[in-house]
Amino acid sequence: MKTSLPIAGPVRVAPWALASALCFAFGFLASAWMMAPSAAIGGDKAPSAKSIIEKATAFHGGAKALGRELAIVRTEEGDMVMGDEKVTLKCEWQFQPPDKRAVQSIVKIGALQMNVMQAVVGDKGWVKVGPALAADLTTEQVHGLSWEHDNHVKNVQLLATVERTHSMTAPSPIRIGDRDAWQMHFTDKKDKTRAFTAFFDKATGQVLGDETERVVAALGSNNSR
Amino acid sequence: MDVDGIKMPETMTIYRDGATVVEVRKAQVRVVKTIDPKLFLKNN
Repeated sequence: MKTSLPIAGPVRVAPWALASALCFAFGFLASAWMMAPSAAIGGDKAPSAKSIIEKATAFHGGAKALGRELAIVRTEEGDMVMGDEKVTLKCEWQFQPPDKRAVQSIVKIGALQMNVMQAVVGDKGWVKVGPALAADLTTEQVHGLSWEHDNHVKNVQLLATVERTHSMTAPSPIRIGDRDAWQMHFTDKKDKTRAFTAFFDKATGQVLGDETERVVAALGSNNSR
Repeated sequence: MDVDGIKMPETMTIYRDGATVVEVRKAQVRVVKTIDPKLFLKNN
């Protein structure tokens, strides 16, 4: 990965730099909705991977609910961290089955507001920063954005298909925050780059988080990989 | 949060090189009939 964050403070933010930061902020090793893992623990005999998936599926709504093809809108509010600065970030993600994905992001720094729109339809995608004309995404960027999108919008719905679509490692114990958990690594059978590690609460089956790496659009002089 | 019978996560943290780059403090998810098709058009 090659990257730089040329943003030192609100008054020195160039629009391209902010757009670039906004785009590649989504593109790196990500831990979704999780607490920091601590040292691995021993103890319980590990159940089968299949039983862990089944328990998680039941916790999150059951196979029937998770397996539905749903048009979904996810609205997020949060902060983007750039050095010592935190700026407000708002995103809206849309998924239209089977293969249409869009996201609109707004960052506000003082009087400056940056809008970034991205969309992927099938294997084609584009990004539009502020008033500029939309630019095509590379195949690699489309791939990364699609994967990122799935993690934000589909997330636990992936449980419905993961046994069929991914190879899985045997579960191993780990401590996530104050929870005893199982961790498992998943690799897409058709696309090895779609790999992630997920953490499951031992007691309830709840997915406590996942870790994965994505490549998404980078603009300006920055590159992300 | 419950979304049409699915328990989905609300908060999220994204890291780069071990450092936080995005913190999602809250989220809302809704199921809709269809997404506005204009959102997928390159020059809408």
